[in-house]
Amino acid sequence: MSVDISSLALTWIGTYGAPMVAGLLFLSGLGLPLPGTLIVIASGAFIRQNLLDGYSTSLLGYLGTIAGDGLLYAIGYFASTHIEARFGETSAWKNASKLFLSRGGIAIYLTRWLLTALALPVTLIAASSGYHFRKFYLFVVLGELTWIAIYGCLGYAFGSQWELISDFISNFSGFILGALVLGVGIYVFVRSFKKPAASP
Amino acid sequence: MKRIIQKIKTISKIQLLALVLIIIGAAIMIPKATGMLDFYKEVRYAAEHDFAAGNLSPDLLRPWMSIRYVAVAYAVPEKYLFDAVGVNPKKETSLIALNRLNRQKGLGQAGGAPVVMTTVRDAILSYRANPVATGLIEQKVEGWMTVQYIANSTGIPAEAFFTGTGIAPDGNANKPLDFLSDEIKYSGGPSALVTAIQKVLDTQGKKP
Repeated sequence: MSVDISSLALTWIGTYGAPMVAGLLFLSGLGLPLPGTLIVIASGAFIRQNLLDGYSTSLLGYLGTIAGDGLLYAIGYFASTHIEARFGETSAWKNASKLFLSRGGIAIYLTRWLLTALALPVTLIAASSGYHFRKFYLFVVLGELTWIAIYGCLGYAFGSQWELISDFISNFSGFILGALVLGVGIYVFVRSFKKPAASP
Repeated sequence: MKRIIQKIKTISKIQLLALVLIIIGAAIMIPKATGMLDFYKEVRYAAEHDFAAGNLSPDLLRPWMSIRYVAVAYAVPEKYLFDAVGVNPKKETSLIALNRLNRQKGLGQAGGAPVVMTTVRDAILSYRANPVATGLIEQKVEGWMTVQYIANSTGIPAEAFFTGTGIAPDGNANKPLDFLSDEIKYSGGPSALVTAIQKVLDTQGKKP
C-alpha cells in the first residue's frame, strides 16, 4: 500500500477538519511542498458534501495561508543580509530588485493563485529586496482571497467529481507557467538581436 | 552541416539561455495542454452518456469518479462498494477518486485502467444481480443522495418517497436531492426536502 502526500493530506482533513486545513495551508504558504491548490479544491468539495463546515474551513484556511506567507516573508527578510552579502553587488541582482520594487505587486498577486509554483521565490525576493511589508501583505491578502474563492468554489461546484477539476487546474496552472517561461525566452531572444543604442 | 555548427558557434550566451527557456517552456506546456484536452474529453464523455440519467452501464466508469459518485450514479449503496473494494468507509474515502484509491492500495493497472475500476464494475454487476439493502453509512439522509440511492440502500421502494413528499416520480429518481429541490422549486429548499425524505424513512420504521 502506497500513500502519497496528497492522499495523506485528504485523510488528515477528513479526520481533523477545518484546523487541519488551516495547518496544511499554513505550511503550504510557508513554502513546504504540499498540494495547496488540491487542498483548497478538496475542501470546497468536502464542504459541499457536508464533511466540513463552510464558514470555519474558509476562514481558518484563509488565515492559515496568509499567516504562512507572512512568516515566509519574515524568514526572507532576516535572511536578506546573507543573500545581499552573496549577490547584492551583482548587476543582475540590482536590476532584479529594481524591477521588483516597481512591478512586484502584480507578481505577488499572481503567484498567490495562478502561478503558485513561483510563490516561494517571489516571497523571498520581495523580502530580501526590501519590498515594503504592508504593500506585500496587501497583495498577499488579495491574492490568497482570490485563490481560496476561485478554487474553493470550483471544488464546491464539482462536489464528488472534484478530482477531475483538480487535475485540470493543475494542468492549467502548469500551462500558464510554461507559457511564461516560453514568453520570457522569446522576449530575451528577440531583444538579443537588437543592437544597443549608441551613447551620446 | 558545417554551416549549422558555425551558426551555433556564433550564438551568444544570452541567446543560448533564451533558447533553453523556449525549450523548457514548450516542454512544460505540451503535456499540460494534453492534460487540459483530456479534461475536455472527460466532460464531453460525461455529457454524451448523460451520467445524471441513472441506470448507467458499468463500462462507463472513469478513473476520476469517487466511490460516492459511483454510488449515486449507479444507485449502489456506498457500503456495498466499500466492502467490495476493501476500503474502510470514512468521510473522506468516499470522495477520493478511484485512481487515487488504486494508488493507495498499490493495485496497479489492468488493460490500461486502474485495477480498482474492475472491482467496482464487478461490484455494480453483482449488486444489480442480487441487490442488498445495506443501510446508509451516514445514518441519515443528505442532499447529495438521490431517491433511488436511498431506496436501494434502505430497501424502501422509491415510490414511497415520492408519495410521501408529493413529488412526481417521472425522471426524478436519479437526481441528487439538492439539485432536485432547486429544479422543482421545492417549498423550503433542499433542507426541507431532505427533512421530508428523512421523515418518510422514519415512518417506514427502518433505521437508515
